[in-house]
Amino acid sequence: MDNEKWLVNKDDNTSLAKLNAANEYTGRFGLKLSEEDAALLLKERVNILKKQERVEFGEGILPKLIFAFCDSPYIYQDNYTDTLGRLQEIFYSYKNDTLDEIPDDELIEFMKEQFDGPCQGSVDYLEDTALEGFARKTRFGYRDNWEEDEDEI
Amino acid sequence: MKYSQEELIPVVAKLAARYTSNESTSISYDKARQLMGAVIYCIEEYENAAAGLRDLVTEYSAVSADTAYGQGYELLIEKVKKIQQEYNLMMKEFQYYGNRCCYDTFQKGMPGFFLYYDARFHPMNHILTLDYPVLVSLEPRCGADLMEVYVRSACLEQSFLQKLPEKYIMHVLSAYSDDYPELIINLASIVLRNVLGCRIAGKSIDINGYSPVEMERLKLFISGKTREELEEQLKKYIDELMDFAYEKNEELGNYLKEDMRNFSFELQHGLNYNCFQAMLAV
Repeated sequence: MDNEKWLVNKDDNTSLAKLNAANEYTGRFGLKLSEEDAALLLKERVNILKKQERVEFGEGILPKLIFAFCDSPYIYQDNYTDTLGRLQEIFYSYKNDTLDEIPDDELIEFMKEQFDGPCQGSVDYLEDTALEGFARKTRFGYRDNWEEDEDEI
Repeated sequence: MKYSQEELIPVVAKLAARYTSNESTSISYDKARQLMGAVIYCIEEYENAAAGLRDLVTEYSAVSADTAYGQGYELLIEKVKKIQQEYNLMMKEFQYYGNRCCYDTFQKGMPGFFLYYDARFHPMNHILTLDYPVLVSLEPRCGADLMEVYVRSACLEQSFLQKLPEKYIMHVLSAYSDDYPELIINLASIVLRNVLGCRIAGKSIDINGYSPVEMERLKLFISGKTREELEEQLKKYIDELMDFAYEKNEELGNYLKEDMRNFSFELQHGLNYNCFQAMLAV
């Protein structure tokens, strides 16, 4: 198809509604996304997807990230939106770097484990060290072994 | 295609979900392009079939993109099965006359297509490089459409060659080049040129070489004719050949005629530079 505008995701209200609905659950951890923050995150999502040359057909990865990370001891209301934004960016970047070999849930699970563990809440460390090694191993086909080498990270 | 991008995107989304087994919410641009290509390919398959059947046309106008894709996919599967049947039939008496490219392409390579062709996610990819050159142009076809033409061409070539004595074919190929087993060449084309050369020179194909008189006849035939006239005349000889030895096989005749444009150029070139030996495989 000549016109490739269809590859660029657009904002949609369903995703916004889902993010707002997630507040109900995250409230118990003292985390809440305002409507402006949610809209901002969704706008960022569109830009990230464009930058990473990816297209998303469903509701997006944000709700999954929210539910996975909301109970992290390193996330609190002040850094909630920023962290989510970064995590979203890292997620799509590493989907590409792992050559789409890792399912969403597995990647999020690993990110959460590392974020709460060795990274101690540092998104930069997660991006540059933990996920870097994970992606490299995935590309080399050592997917089943990364858990064994966890201590090295 | 009558469907807009907006109608196609939900079909692509469904296919993407199937591709990722619902384990990924996003896919790369490359993969999205590939899946969009797959959807368009199947819908076009459906449209082409619908265009050929009048009673389907009214139905077709009301069909959604998703249904058209589904039906196109079924048609594609049927098409691949037919190609495989035709290929299997051809391979029963397949002869490659010592040419490695012909052997590798059909005997070794072709089963790979039937094993690995992905009609669901990548129907445009016919997998093989198809090194053996056939006489018809394969562009802009791709996927099963291309393979359909390619296998049909190979079947026609085999039916053409198998009517001729194997010894004669081997002699012509050796005369064309001692390296013919290793060359990437169209076997039917070389043999056909020799047969037509004999027809023009008025000699029997079982006699090797051309006498000076026969060579003169050949030159006389070419000189004074434009390239288009030569091509027309050669096509008439092919019709004669089909009537005489191939039960008026029009399909085979039309296939062989595809080579006459090149051959007419070469004949003129042969006259100008006196190099008939090489082009007629004498």
